[in-house]
Amino acid sequence: MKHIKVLALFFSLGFLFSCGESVVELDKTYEPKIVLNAIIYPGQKVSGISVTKNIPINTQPNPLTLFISDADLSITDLSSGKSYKLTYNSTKLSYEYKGSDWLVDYDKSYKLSISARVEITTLTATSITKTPKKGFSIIDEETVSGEIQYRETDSEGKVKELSLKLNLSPETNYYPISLVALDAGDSTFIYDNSYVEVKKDDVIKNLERYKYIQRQIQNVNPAALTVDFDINWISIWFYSRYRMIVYAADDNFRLYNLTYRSVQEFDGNFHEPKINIQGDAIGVFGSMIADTVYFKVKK
Amino acid sequence: MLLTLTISRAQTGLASISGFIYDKASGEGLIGANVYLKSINRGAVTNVSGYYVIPKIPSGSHELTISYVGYKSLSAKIVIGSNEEKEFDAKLEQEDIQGSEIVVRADSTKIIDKLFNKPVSKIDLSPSQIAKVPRVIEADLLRTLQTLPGIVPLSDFSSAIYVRGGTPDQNLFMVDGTDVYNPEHAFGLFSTFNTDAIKKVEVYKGGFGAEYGGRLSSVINITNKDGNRNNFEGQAQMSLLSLSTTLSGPIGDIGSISGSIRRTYFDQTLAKWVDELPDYYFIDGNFKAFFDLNKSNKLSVSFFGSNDDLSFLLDKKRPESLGFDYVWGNLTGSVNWRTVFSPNLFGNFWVTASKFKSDFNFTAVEVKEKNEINDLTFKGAIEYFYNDNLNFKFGFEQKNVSGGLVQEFPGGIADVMRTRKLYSVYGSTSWKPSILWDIEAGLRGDYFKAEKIFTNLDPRLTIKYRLSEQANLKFSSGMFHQYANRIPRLFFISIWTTADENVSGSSSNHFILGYERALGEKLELEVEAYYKTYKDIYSYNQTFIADVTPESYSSNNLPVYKNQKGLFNRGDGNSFGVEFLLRKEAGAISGWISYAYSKTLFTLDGINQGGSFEPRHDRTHAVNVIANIDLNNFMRELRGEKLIHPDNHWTLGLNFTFFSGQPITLPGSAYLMNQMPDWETNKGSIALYPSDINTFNLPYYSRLDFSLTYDIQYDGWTLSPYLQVFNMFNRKNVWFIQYKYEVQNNIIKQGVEYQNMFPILPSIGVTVKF
Repeated sequence: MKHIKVLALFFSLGFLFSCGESVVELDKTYEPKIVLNAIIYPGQKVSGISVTKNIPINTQPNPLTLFISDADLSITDLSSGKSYKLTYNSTKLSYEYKGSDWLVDYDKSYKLSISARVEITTLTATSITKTPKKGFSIIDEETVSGEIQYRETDSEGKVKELSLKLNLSPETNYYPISLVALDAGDSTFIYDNSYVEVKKDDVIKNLERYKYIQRQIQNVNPAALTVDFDINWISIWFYSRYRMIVYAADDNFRLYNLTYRSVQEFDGNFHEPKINIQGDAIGVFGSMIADTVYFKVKK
Repeated sequence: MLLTLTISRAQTGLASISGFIYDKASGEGLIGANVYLKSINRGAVTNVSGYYVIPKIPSGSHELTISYVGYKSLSAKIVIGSNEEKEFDAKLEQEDIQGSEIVVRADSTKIIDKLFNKPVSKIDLSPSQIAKVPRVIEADLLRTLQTLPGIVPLSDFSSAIYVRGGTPDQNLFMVDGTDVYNPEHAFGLFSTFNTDAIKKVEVYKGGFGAEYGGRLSSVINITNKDGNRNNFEGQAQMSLLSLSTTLSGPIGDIGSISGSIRRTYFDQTLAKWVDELPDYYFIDGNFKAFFDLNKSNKLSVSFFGSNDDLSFLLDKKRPESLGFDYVWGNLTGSVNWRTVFSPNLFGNFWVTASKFKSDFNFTAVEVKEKNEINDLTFKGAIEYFYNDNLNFKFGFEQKNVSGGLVQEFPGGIADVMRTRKLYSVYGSTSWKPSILWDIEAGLRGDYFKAEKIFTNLDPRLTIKYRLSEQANLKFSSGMFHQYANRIPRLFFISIWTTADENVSGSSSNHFILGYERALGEKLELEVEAYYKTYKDIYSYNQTFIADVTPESYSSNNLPVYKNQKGLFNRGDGNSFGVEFLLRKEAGAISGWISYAYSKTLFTLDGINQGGSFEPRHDRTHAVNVIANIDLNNFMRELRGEKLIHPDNHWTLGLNFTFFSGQPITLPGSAYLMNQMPDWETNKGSIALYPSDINTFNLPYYSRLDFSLTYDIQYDGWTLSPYLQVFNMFNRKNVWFIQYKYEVQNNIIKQGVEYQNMFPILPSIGVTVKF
């Protein structure tokens, strides 16, 4: 009988522990941070520098409440040592340089310094970007432009690629490509596409997923002058005008853009993205050169 | 009694007795059988070929006893002349391990002696033990190993094992002497080892001898069945997942042949009607032929092949639909020659080949990948039994490994194909200064040739001491080196890479202290404490995409990656723990109860500011209870009555598992971020930022599994229908948390969703043996 009692005890414990549901406490993880979305462009004035704060997981605030309007924010030209204080534009919800005495230059290092109050804490951070060298542009003659039929074929019946050719910025090896369907909507969606059946409800629900597409060219030969790249037709989901902006990006933007969206691993664990900011901020302070081309995809 | 034993040891002569111990029904050699000469209180244990030798024994009449768990003991009177090299082969008759009574006879090998003979941190498993552990649909070797102390899984969805804090790539898997690199079906859900074909599994959780190398943490040595040398026999099984059969029989008088094949069938059934299911199947097969060339020479030829084939089309009506083809598999082969040069000198030689290959083709996004590894190995092992107190082992291994990855994708090419050579030699000696002591010291030397040359000497030491007639104390220590690293990938088969000019070889030191005790005549208790260090271990760099650098460029100036720089984070670490295993191998109730406490800390360059952290697989507490209950005899054994052996009987299997929660990194917060500067804030403009690495713990994991089998025996046939229920109380164990977020109508909407492990999974099947 003693054995039976021991066995019964074991399996009673087993039964007890083998039922139910486990719960994870999520509210202990929050730590306030400044969120920087700051890109500067050589040849242009500094504007559109977004400063927000992060929010606890599983909360539902209005995004407008996240913008920090009273940050102490400046950018210093490290070659001259001159510092430029940025001011908040409440219409654009971003910081900009109001003076007319400064344009961002090519191939120069700039340091952003910020101090802002988030929740009850004053947080500070700095970051340095080196702007890309001059020379980057889209070569219009060898890049898709004008009007093209969806999956247009050549005389041999082969589908024409959406070509892109770039003059490279010396020593810049990351070129993100932004493809935006300007007439995106459920009525312009290509339902008879070659890849997958998409229902109208799904288009309406996930319109932005189809409208905004990013591609990229990374680790291009630093000694090269030009590069060819084909945009795959799987990037095109609308009969629409398309705006394609190609950027020559600095290393800060490269590291952040390549890693910030893939922070959850396949076993569910998280890891840090690559952020080149020192202090209490997350996000990016980067510099890029941009060039734009438009084309239209017809039926 | 110990004094008597010690005195008798001195009475040695020049005669010897040696031979092979076989299973009477199948003629298979028995690994680990105890052979014992009562008159002089000396014995031996059969090796992997079933061979034993007791050297330097006095002439005269002796009583030889042979015993093996699950078999009836055999005793024989042997008369040995002066200087005679007596050969004595024996065949043991199998008995139903569950129905068998534990009657300790004077001629039985005691539990404590069996434990003393066993190497430190070694656990043996038989196919019947593997089959009896309740399963996820299909019997699986690796999932059975996950029930042993010191071996844990990461989740229900992977059969990969983490041994004493080590990662899965630190485990050496061998089938009939051949290394297997990616033993996975169905993206790791099942292992490739068909349990029907297995004869014995030896698991070394650490402190393994000089004959094993190339991995830091463990060795899983699988020996497949040679085949029945007496009769044709077979087994067929149908589970909800697969059909399998194993057949074997004699080849005249010279040997035997054995083959197994298993294939999943839902691609031919369910997938025909359910469009959403991908076309997927796996098939694997084993073949082994065994030849008794003569009394002293045995030859076996073994093959193993597996193939997984997955075709996925998101929309089967569209020719260029998003979809991919993915085919992968292993092919291994070995030729093994075992020879008795003289009764005291035994040789074992192999030529092995192992190939893993995968092909992936995702046409719509222009991605193609070939991943392969080829291994051709020559190795040999010599055992010299100088006398009862002193044995020697020598061996060599020469590996020729080639392989790597070729991947084409928009924006570049990865072409990392490599050829490597490894030369290893080892020697070890086992010295028994008295009946109380057994000291084994060994040394293994490696010469690994890559872009850089690595040479290492690994000393190994094991000391065993009989504390009393019921207890042993053991200590083991050693240094271990590894030159291969595995890159785990989501839904893709891992890629193996090796040490080179950018990545050093990894090393580990093991220190193990063990205590073993026989508890009465039925139970054995093992307690082991260990401490392990790791140096230069490599963890997959999760942000490698930002860190890889090309070695050259294509004609279009796009990158060609030919090295592994940036793929890994180098690190160090340590593990320590204590394990308790209470085991009962025979009787109406058999199984084990285990508890393991363990702690692992890694430091990785560039992670956590170089500070130490607990890796995701660290489980502080682990409890497993495995019980196999012969329902016809359960009450009889508890009441101490004689057990019965009916033709038809019921067996109940229970498996209780408890793991304390795994460390996890949770997102610390969410924030607004537009992916590209020209995009408007949209539904996807929310990003997550993690908290410090692995500072949180998931809730504990627990489940109870159940199986019920009814064996019906008729005219030499056994029909065994079974019911299995995995996670019978449907406990919702959290695997991880999925975060949902979007910006909608000026509100950030966030939500969390628990991704749970397997729910209750009932399955049925049937096994037929003839």
